[in-house]
Amino acid sequence: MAELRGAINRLGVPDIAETKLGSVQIDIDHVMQATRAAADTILETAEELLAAPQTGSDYRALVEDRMIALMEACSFQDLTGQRLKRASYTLQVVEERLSTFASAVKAGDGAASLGDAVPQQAVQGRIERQRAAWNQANMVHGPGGAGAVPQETVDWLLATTS
Amino acid sequence: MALDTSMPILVVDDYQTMVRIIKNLLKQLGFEDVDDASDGTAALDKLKQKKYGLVISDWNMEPMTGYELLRQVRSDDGLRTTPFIMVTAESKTENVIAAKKAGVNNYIVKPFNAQTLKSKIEAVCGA
Repeated sequence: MAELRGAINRLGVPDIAETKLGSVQIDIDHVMQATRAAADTILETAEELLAAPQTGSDYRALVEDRMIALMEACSFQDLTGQRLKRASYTLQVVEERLSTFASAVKAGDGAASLGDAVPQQAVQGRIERQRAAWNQANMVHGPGGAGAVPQETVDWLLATTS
Repeated sequence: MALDTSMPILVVDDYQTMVRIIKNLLKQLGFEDVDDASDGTAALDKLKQKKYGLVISDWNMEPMTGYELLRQVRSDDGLRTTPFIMVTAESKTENVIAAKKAGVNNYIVKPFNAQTLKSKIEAVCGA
C-alpha cells in the first residue's frame, strides 16, 4: 500500500489535472480561435478583391493593401505552432507519468516491478526539469499565459524603464 | 518620417513562415536588402560578416535565443550600436524589462500588423 501511495504521489495528479491539462485546454482554445479568425480574414479579403471593380487606378492600390492583410493573417501559424508545441510537450509529460504509474502498479503487458519504475521516473523527471530550467533561464514562456501584456503596456514599459 | 530603405536588415526567427511574412512586409515598406537567420548563433555569424542597419529578432529560438543574441550584440564593440527590435510572443513584463535593460530599441508583441512594424522601425531608424 505504501508503494502504491508512492506511485500515486509521483504521478502528480493535482499538477496534471489543474495545471498541465488546464494549460493544454487554454492553448487549444486559442488555436481554434486564431485559426478561425485567420480564415475569416483571408476569406473576407478574397471576397473583397473578387467584388472590387478591376478597372481604374485604384485597383492596384487596393490589391497591395489587401495583400498585406493576407500576409498579416498568415502570421497566426507562428503563434498556433508555439501553442501546439507547448501542448504536445505537456501531453508527452502526462503520458510519461501515466506510463510510469502503470508500470509501478503492474498494469498492462510486461509491467515492470515497482522497483524498476523508480529509475525510469527519475529519468523522465530529469528531462522535464531540464526543459523547465532552460525555459526559466531563458525566460521562454510561449504565447499568452499569466502575466502576458498587450503592445500598449509593452510600449509603456519601454518608455518608463531605465 | 523618412526611412533609409537601402539599409540592410537581418530578420532572425526559427519559424520560416514568419521570416517570409516579415520579409514581405519589409519589402512592401521598400526595404530590398533583407537577410535572415534561424537563431541567434546563425545571426551572430551574419552580423560579423556584414554591416546591418537593423536587426529584427524573435525571442524563443534554440540554441541561442533572441535575448541572448541581444546581449551578445550589445557586448560586442563592433555591433553594440546596431538597432535591435524584438518581435516575439514572449510578452510578460519580465521579458520586456529584461530586453530593455539589455539594450533593445523596441519591442513588438506577436501577432502584429504592418502598421505596427512600420511605426516601430520609424521610431528606431527614422531620420
